[in-house]
Amino acid sequence: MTRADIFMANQAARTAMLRTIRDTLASSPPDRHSAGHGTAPQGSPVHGTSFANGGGTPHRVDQDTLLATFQSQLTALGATSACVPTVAQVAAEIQAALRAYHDAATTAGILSGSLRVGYSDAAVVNDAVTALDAQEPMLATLQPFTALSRDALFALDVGITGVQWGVAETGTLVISTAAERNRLLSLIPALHVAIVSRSAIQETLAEVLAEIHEDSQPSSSTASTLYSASPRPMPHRAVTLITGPSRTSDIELTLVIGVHGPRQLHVIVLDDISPRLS
Amino acid sequence: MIESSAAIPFADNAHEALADPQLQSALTGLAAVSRERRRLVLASTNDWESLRDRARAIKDEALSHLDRYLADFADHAEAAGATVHWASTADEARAIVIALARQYDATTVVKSKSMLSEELELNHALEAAGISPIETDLGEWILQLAHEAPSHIVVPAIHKTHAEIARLFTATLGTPPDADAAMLTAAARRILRPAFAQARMGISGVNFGIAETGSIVILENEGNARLSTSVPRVHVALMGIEKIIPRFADLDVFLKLLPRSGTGQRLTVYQSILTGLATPGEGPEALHIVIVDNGRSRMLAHPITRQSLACIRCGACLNVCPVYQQVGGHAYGSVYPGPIGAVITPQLNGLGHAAQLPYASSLCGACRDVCPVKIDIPALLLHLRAQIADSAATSTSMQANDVPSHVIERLSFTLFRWTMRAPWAYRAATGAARLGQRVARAVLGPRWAQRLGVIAPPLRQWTAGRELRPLASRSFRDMWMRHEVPNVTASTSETEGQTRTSTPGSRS
Repeated sequence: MTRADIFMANQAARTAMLRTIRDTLASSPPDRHSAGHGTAPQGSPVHGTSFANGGGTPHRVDQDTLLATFQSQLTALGATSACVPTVAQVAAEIQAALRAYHDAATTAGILSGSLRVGYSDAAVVNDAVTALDAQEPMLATLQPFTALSRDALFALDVGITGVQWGVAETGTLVISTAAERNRLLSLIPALHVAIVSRSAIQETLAEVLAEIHEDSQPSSSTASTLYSASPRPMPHRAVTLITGPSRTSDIELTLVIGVHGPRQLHVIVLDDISPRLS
Repeated sequence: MIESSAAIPFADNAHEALADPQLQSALTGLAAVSRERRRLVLASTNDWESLRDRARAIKDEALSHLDRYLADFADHAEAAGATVHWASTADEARAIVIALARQYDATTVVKSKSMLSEELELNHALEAAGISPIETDLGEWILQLAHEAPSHIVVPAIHKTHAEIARLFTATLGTPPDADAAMLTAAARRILRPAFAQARMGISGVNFGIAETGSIVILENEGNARLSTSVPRVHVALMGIEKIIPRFADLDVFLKLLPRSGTGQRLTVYQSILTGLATPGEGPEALHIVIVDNGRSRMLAHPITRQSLACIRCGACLNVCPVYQQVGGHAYGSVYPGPIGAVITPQLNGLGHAAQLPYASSLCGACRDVCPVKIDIPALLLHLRAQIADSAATSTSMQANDVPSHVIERLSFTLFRWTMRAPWAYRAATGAARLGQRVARAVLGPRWAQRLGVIAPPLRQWTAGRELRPLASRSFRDMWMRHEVPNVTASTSETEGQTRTSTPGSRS
C-alpha cells in the first residue's frame, strides 16, 4: 500500500468507528439512572470551563504557609529542599548537594572520580552553574543538555533543571518543555536537582493546570461555548508533574524509593518574594 | 453476544487458587495494606463524595457524546503533530503497531504498563512478527521473566511472594538469593537502562485523552513510562475509546481520584501530559495514538452497561472484594480480574465465554462503595446474570430428557413468591419445614444439615460452601401470640438466644 492508500484506509476506519459509536448510542434506551449519579448543575466544570478550585471563594493562603507546606510535603515524599534568597546561594546549595552525593556514592563504591552533571538551558540554572563552576572544579564535570549525546545523557549522575511551577499541597514540581529542556534531565540521572522560584509555587494543582490551559486559549474566549472550537495547540507540549523521587510497591507492596527515575530529589526554592536586606 | 469459544472455568480456577498456599500467602497483605493506605489518604481529602459525583457526571457526558469527543480529540491531537490510528478490533490494533514498528525499523520496543496492551495480547503478536517487546514496569517485567499474566490492574505481580521473585531473579539474572526488595528493584533499573537507551520505539497506554486539547495523560510511579515515551524515536500510545474526558479542566478531578483510589497516594510520582510533539531533542520524533474499540462500543447500547466504560482502572474494587481477596486475579481467566473484570470480560469477550464470571460475586456491594466513578457493579452483575438466564431459557442445545435447570429455578421462585405473599401459606411452609427438620435430625443426627446436602445433590451446590441454618425451634410469631416476647427496649441489648428463652415475667 502506498502512503496515500494507508491514509485513506485510516480515514475510512475513523468514519466507520465513529459511525458505530453514534449508531449504538442512538439505539440506547434513555438513561433513567443518571439523576442518581448527580447530574451536574449549571456552572460546574461539566458545563463551564472553570476549574474545580478556581470558581470558589478566593481564599489566599499566605506565602509563608505556602512555602512551609511545600517543603513539608517534599520531606514527607522523601525529597530534600532548601530556600535561599540569591542565585549565588543557589549555586552554594547545588555545590553542597553535589558534595553530599559525591561522597555518599564514592563511599558506596558506585563512583570514582568526579560527578557527571548535566544542566538545562533555563536562565536561573545557567547563572547558578556559572557561579558554581569556578568554585570546585574537581567535584563535577558540568555539561549543558544541548551538548550531550544519547550515551552521555545516560551516563549522567546528576541533572540540574528549572521547574515552572510548584504545588504546595502535594509537594509537586511541574515542568514544561515550552520553557526549557528539562524533560530528560529531570528523569535519567539518579539525582535531580530542581530550582523553582518561590513566586511560582501555587497552593493547588488546579491553579497550575488552569495556567497551563490558559496559555492555549484565544484571548477572546467566552464561557458560553463548551470549549473553543479550535484552540491553538497547547504551547506546553510535554508537561510533567513530579511528586517525589520515583518509587514502586510491586514486590509484595514493599515501598522502594528509586526505580527507573531519580532516586534522590533535591529542590532549591529561589526566594524572589521576600524583600532583600541589602 | 453468546460465543462458543473456550469458556473461563472460574469455579475450578477458584478452587485451585484456594488450595495454593503460595498464592494465599502472597494475597494476605493486599486487603490490609490497601485499606490502610486508602483510609489515610481519604482522611485528608475534602469532599470525596462530590468528587466522585463530578467524575461520574464527566464520564457520563463524555460517553453519551463519545463520537463527537473522539473526533475532537483526534483532530486536536493531529493539529499538535500526532498521528491518530483507528482500530475497531484487536487484530487491527496489533497490525497497526506491527506496521509502525517495521516502518521505524524497531526490532525491540520498550513498553510501559498498559492493560489495553495485555487485552490485545500485543506481546505475542510482536514476538511472532520478530519484534522483541520489553516490559519495563517492575511488576510487568517480573511477569515477563516468569512468563505469567498479570493478576491485578495496578499491582500486576501481587500473586507472587517476595521469595518467589527473589528465586526468579537469581535463576534468570544471577542476583543474590537473599536480595531484598530494594536490591531486586536496583537490578531491574540496572538491566533495563540499556533497553531504554537503545529501543527505537516505546509503547504506552493512556489514562486520559482530553478532547479539548488532544492531550494524552499517563500516570505512573516508577519513571518507566516517562522513559518509554520520551527517549525512543517513536512513541506509540494505545488508547481505548472510553478514555476520553471532554475538557482540560476535567483532568483535575481525575488526578485527585485515580491515585487516591489506586494506590492511596495524593498523586502518583509522575503524570505526563503529552500534546502532540515536544521540542526536538526533548522527546520522540513521532507520536502515534492508536484508538481501539475491540468490543467497547457494544457497551454503549444500554445505560446500565455503558457505565462499565466509566472505569478508570484504579483497582480499588479488587482490593475490597471478598472474592478477589481469596482467589486472586488469575481465577478470572482474563486480563481484567475482580469485580470490574467480572462485568467487563463477559461484555468484551461474549457472555458464552465468561458465563461464570457474573456469578463470581456475593453482591455485597463493597466494589460499588469504593468505586471512584460510582459504577454500580452489583447492578451490572445482575443485568448480565439476567442476560445469561434469558439466553439459557431460549437455548436449543438442551438434551431432550433433561429437566432444564431454569425450569426448576423458575418453579422454585414462583413457589417462594406465592408462599411469601400469603400468611397462611407461609405458616404452613415453615411448619412443614420444622417438622422436616425434626425428622432429618432424628434420621441423620446432629450434622443433618451437611448430610442433607450430600444426600440431595441439588442442595449440595449450596451446602458445599455454606452452612444450612436451622430454623429456630419456635417462631417469633408463635412466641408473640403467647405473650412470651420481652418488650422491645429491654431486649435490644440481649442476644438472640437469651431473648428466645426469656419471658416478660422472668426479668425486670
